[in-house]
Amino acid sequence: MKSIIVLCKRVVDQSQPPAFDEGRLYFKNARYDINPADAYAIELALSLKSSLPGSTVEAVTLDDEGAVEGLVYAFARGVDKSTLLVNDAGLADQGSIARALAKYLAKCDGLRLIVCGDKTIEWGSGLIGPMVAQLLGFPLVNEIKKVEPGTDDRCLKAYRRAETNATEIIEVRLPCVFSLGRQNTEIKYASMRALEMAKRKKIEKFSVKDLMDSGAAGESPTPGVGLKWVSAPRPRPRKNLAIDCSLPPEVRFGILLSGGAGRKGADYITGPADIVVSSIVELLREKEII
Amino acid sequence: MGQSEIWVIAETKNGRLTERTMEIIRDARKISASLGGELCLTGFEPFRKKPEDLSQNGVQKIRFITFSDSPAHKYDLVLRGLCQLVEEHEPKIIFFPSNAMGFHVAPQLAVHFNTGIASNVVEAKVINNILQAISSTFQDRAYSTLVFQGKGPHILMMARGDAIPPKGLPPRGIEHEEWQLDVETSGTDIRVVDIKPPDPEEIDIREAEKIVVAGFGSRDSRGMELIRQLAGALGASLGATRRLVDLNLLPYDRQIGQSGKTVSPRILISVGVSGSSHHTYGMKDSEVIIAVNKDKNARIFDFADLKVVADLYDVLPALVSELEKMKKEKENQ
Repeated sequence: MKSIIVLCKRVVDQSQPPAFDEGRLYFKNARYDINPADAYAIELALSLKSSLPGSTVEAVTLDDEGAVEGLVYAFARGVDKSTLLVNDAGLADQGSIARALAKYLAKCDGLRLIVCGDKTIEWGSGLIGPMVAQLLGFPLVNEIKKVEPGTDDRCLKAYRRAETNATEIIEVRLPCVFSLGRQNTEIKYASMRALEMAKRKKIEKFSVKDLMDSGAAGESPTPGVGLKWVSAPRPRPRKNLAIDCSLPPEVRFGILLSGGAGRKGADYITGPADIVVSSIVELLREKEII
Repeated sequence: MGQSEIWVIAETKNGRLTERTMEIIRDARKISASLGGELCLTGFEPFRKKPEDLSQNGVQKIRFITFSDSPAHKYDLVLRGLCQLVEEHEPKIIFFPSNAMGFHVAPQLAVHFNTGIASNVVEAKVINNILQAISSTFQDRAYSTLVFQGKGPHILMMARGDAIPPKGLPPRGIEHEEWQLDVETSGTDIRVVDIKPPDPEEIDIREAEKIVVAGFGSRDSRGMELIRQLAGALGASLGATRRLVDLNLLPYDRQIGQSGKTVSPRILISVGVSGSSHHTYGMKDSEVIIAVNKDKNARIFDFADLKVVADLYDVLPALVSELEKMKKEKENQ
């Protein structure tokens, strides 16, 4: 059996401001939803089901006991199986979480593809996907835009956004890890009926403690970083708009309206096209744009 | 040699060292001042920057790494190359920029060496000889302080750094090193098949460095064609005003202004835009604004660094052909 795995997570609804107490962060009456990037990951995984015939899609979350909102959403969108790895070992740093996930994933038979969102809108470290790829020894492709079937069923053709905004077309051997962020397209809401049906489906649960105990000995149990304190962000420096009082009122009003962005003093350029073009090109050169 | 170096991985854009890299260098200098260690800028692509600019910010060594020809993906080469280098040199701390390359390479490096990593770091500091990182979480609504423990190299992925240049650091000589690495890539599973140039209508305008904005004055098919050509020649993203989006000439995600998106690119060329306050609200923070309009009294000119009073049908064809010519000359060099 071939399997496609989506790593997804629930997040606190963005509309709620976090509260701070003694270096810890909490939410009052938190409502949860699927992480936006993970919602796109689920769509991608489901769309690849036809490219890898005979495969099943499984959603996996590592979180607290009751954290099923992401998995229910995944069921409502049409995944075949959902698994919750209950974090009863109190793992907090990304390195340990990635190791626990990798241990579970290594046990899955016929694993062909792992899809994950690039980062959550909560802690949002963006480290889990690449770490899992390295731990399993799978190739990683990030900033995915689109995926197409490859030349044979052992590879896929991925379109990724390069740093220059160009599109790189990559052929990647399976098994591999795909990571993607929010895309420009909107995802339709899962229907109420689908969500209600999804709530009745069975979510498999495994204990992280058992997973970690079953692994090979000799791995470092101490995480490389520890979380010490969480606080409200420092206020960002604000742009101050000081208007010269000696200016006439209509000019001052104009500056206020434009938020101080008005650029006075530049000259008008007019005349034949070649003169205009040469001055534009000169400015572009001066600013090192071309 | 032991653990004596602090590395900063350079981020380049169009052959220039980015401002973020300079910010990271300033943070790294503070760390090297309190923990000791040589500050070493490591680059994988050639970049232009005056050596005295770098040395005034505390850089002591530039290490430039090239790879022998290989079909493997660039990120894969960088990862494997860094694995080799880190084993040889055992740096104390490595600073990565938070870009796609950083998010690909740094976490895998941390797992490979089984060391601590912090991402989205906005400030690094040393307290009681222990490295701490303040990282931005919950979309900048909370800052968490992370403490590094265990052995190095500690890896920090910086979202931004110290924006204020230090004073009083005299320029010094910088040591240059150039290495060519032969990286074992026979087992690589990723292969770049093709690279497509950026499509102006696909680049997200909020992140774009260059934007060409089409206004109501350029609504006919020839005007739109010229605007697309200009955006293509510059490698710019395509933006629009509300009236143009209402005409269904461009999709809504291209709209700039109060009811669309707010942008602040390095350059914005606006063509046939009158400049109503709803539109200028979304683009006034751009670094350089060039406006082309027939009407000398158009409000857009209040915001422009270059005010071009001309017909777009005269100017744009000449500008596009000039840009294309320069592009070809650059390629031939």
